[in-house]
Amino acid sequence: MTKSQQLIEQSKAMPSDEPTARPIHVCTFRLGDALYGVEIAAVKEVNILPPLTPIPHAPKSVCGYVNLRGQIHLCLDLKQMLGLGPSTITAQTRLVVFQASLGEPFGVLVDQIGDIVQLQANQLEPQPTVSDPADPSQLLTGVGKLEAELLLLVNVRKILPLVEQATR
Amino acid sequence: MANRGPIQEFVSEAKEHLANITDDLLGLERERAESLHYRLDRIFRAVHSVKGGAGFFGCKTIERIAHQMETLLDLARSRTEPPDAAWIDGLLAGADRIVGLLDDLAGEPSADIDELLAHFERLGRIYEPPSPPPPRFLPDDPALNALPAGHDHVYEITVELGECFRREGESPLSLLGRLQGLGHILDAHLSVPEGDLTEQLPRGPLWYQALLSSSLAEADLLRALGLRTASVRLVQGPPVPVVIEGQAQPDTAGGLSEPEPSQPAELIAAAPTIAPTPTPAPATAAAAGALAVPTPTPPAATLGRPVPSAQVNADLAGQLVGDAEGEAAGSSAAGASARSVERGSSSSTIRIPVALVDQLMTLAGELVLVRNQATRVLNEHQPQGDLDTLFRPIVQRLDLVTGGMQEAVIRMRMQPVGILFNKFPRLVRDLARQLGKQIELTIQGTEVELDKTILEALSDPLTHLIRNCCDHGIEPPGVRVAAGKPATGTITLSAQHIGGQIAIEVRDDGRGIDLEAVRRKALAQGLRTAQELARLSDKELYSLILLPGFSTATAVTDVSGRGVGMDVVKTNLDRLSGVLEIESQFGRGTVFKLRLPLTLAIIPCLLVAVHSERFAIPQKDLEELVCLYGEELLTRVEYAFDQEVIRLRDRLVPLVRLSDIISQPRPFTPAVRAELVRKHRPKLMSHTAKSGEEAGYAVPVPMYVAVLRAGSKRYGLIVDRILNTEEIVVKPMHAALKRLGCFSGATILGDGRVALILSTEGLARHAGISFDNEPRPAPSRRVADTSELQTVLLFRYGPHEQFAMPLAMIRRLEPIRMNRIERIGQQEFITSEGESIFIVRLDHYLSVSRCEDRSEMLLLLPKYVRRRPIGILLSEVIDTELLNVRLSTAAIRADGLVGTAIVRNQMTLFLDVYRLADLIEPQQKAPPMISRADRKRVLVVEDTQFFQHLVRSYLETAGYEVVMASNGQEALAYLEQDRDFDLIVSDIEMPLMDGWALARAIRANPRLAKLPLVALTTLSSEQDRAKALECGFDQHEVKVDRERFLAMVARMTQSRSKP
Repeated sequence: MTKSQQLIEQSKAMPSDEPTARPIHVCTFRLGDALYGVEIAAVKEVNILPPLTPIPHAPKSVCGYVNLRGQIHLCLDLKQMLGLGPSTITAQTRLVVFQASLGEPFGVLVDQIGDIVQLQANQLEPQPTVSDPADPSQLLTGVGKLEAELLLLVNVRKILPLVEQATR
Repeated sequence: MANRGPIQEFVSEAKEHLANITDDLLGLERERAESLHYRLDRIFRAVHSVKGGAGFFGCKTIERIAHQMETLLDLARSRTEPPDAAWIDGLLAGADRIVGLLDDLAGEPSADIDELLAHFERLGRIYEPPSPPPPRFLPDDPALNALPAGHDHVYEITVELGECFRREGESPLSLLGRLQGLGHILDAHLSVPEGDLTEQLPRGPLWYQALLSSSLAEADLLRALGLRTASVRLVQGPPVPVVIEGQAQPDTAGGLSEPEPSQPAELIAAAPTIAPTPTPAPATAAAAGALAVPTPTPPAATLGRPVPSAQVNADLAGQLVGDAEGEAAGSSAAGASARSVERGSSSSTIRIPVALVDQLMTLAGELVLVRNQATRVLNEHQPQGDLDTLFRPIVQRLDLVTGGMQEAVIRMRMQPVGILFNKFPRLVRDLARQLGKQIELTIQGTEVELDKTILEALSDPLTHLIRNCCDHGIEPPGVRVAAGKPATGTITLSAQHIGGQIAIEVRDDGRGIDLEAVRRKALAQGLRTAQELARLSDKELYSLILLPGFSTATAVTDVSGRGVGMDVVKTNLDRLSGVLEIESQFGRGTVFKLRLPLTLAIIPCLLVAVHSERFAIPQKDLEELVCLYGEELLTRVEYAFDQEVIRLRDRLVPLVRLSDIISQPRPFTPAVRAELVRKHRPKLMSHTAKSGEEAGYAVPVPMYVAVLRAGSKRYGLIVDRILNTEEIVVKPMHAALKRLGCFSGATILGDGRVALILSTEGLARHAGISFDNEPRPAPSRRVADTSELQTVLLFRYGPHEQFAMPLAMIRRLEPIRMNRIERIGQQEFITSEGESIFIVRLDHYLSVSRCEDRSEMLLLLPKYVRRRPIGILLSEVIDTELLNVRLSTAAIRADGLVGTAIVRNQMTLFLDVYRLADLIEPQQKAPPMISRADRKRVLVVEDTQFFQHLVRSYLETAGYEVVMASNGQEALAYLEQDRDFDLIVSDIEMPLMDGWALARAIRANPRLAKLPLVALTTLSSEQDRAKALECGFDQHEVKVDRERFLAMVARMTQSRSKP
């Protein structure tokens, strides 16, 4: 084979999609049976749920306040926010706490914590933009195609604004 | 928190400099001339620093402004008189502009400062150094004709005496001495600026021009003179060396020649006419003489030694230029200025980002939690022996250290209040100028410290108050003088620690507050009625100006009002948990007194619980705690419009349940409120019923009410349980939840759980508690109209009549199915809760209409009927009503009725249940009538008309003679007049003098002490009994069990009649 032919063969073998992008790491968790995830960079820590103090008059998406190492954190019900109904707290329930850069200390309840998954760019499909601000799929930024199932990616930055809106 | 680089350092430093510059500029107006140059120099140095830094960082615009400011300062420095207000204004404007540019560095390069620079230029022109006077002496001056021997050179020496002294330390006297040493002063002239010299010494340049003949050549003379500030001009040089007869040779003997005796006369004759510059104006000759050039020494005297007159002149001359460096020791208490001077030069402080302090506070808070946990574990688990001796001291030490750390951290956030006060001298000065008034601001207590957040939040309200003082408080100078006050008004701003709080006072000696005008305005704006105004104290009247309606009404020309925005001050202060008090003397002045807590970060609060959740109520909002149980639940909880209220001493306090608020996410609508009242009302009745009624007492199921303050209003919050008090660290609500008005924050309690902090104002708003509709407490109640408000149940039996019975007498209402009624002969019974109840049909006993039976009707079960239980049949309940019960016994006199009254426009019959019961079972009558001769006299002391009637009717029917008193005082009066009573029966809760006081008074009086005294009251607890007995009552009876009552009366009066 000539050199140029070799090169052509090589380039055929490479994935022909978008130019190689770096894979994103996703912290996954279960809400109900479905698999969801957030970018790992957004996650500060995952904790067992401390005792909750409910907040009267707060929207349904707010579970209440918890005390994490002397700091008061707002605990939100992501399942409720996605329109999947209220969360029930079990022994598996965990609190995913987000980085301080994303807002005042807050976190979301998840039914079960999952693994950290690597998503290649070609496994990711962006979510079409939703016009209705009340549509819960606003929170989703994309869908990841894993071997066994779909991974729904949540846009962490949208969470607090939605809560604030819901407080009338 | 990250270090944002050296430019930020420059910015903060520059700002500090500018703050000092501003202070010093303001100080210039106040200070005496001595420190003038000291200040100017300081300002110059500060401006120079700013300029340097700006240049370094490439802030060219700032650099240019600073440079021009330097120029202006330089001009001022070269003068002797202090700069005027316009100049100071100009420099202040420059400083302000620089601050503005520092805040907006991005826009700095392109900022337009042309106008500012033009302004500077104009000022500069006015302030140019006075040009020296034109050369005075001409070669043809006659004085040149009489040159002393050897003096070939004639010079004109020009020097500005002030500058000379300032710059080179050469006083005019020594200058003259030196000149004389260098030659011979032929003529001299002193220019003094215009001014009446009899009034004050002149300010401004003093130009001295001397015509000096000397043997020295110019160069030598200059060297010998050695004064930079003197200018020397050769008028006439040495003649061409032509030997002329008679001309003396230059005297080379050092050039020091004695002036000839004739000189003095000449010089005196040539004493300068004092001409003011620039425009000619005559100066007083006498002063001229005084300011004359110091006369040269008489020939015999040593050169330069002053003679007395010269001495005097020297003093004057000295004063003319002033002695610099005399720093006035700021006795005028512009403490802010003085402090800023110290502050500027102190190096014992460091700048720390606030975020770091906050972080430290959080850590300290967490440490407190750990300490609490350790203490709890230690106490709960009680380690034994060694473990205890080892562990306990550790925990104690941890406690000490944590406490200390907490304290230190709180103090870190404290800043001196002077930081805030510092900006006011400028404000007052500017306002005074604007308004054409003369106002002086005195500041005290600048070192008092406050938490940073409070300090920042205090800025607006204080500014407002001071503006108001200047605007409305201090009068124009003319008005003040006419009133016999000094033309300059004084505002004193002071701060001090008093008992764990900060007390800040703004005091002025202005026109004060006109109470009459306040009253008029309050009436005109509909804020208060005339009667209400009549009852207010002066202090409360002053506080009216803080009402929102008040301020918006005030017109600018209003003489009385303190006007715009005082309510804003109040609301701001409220948010800071501050209190504002106003004192004033019309014509003399006003004082605003503020009280603030030292810190908002940690507050004491009360923990309460509803269901299983705990909430914190800040103590500052909590007025008192009330616990109601038993009958009180019925008697003291009443209904006003759509609200439950409780009577607390003289006032009605609206009630709201915390559980209701929690369960209602939306603010209460009127419909919701009505529903809640309906929901709770019958509950109250079964509340007492369910708790069993042995002997007519209810087992207490307490209701806890926290009386809270929201602004100036009070209301009661019903909670399930009251827990404990705790000091908590306040954390604001999460940003996403800011809209929730009921909570002002959250905190972590001692056990680590989060609790919400209640906002009393938010709760009140949510529950829609209407304070406006709050029935105003009955205006100064007349003795007769006492506690008349009672809740009665209105109902129907037959179609025509409306009946009423006080709720207090009702055990419960029960719906019944008519088909369950059992008949025995004529009598009807029904079984309820295991007992057989006799049914009473009202038309059988009273002449009222018959009732058409329906399948379901209501049965009213009254209290206190001892014999067999009875139930009064009702066809419907109309409503409950809070009434001012005034019974008329005249309209219908009937057995079985206590009386009648008009309720809801209808004649209403008030049932006498016990009489009815009597009528039902005539065998069991009241105890036998006592024979007339032996009639016993009973003094009944009762304030409620209803019970007055009831008790009177019982007693009179039983044959006693009754004298009625409405309260303790009246009773005592009766007792004084007429001691012949067999028994005193008294209520406890009465106005003016209650039962306890009455009992004590009676027992204390030896003549009355033996009288039998019985309490008849709704208060039924053990403590009440005990207290009654302790106060001197013989018996304690609960209202109103007729049989027991009459039996007891009989007993008490019986024993009396025994000899």
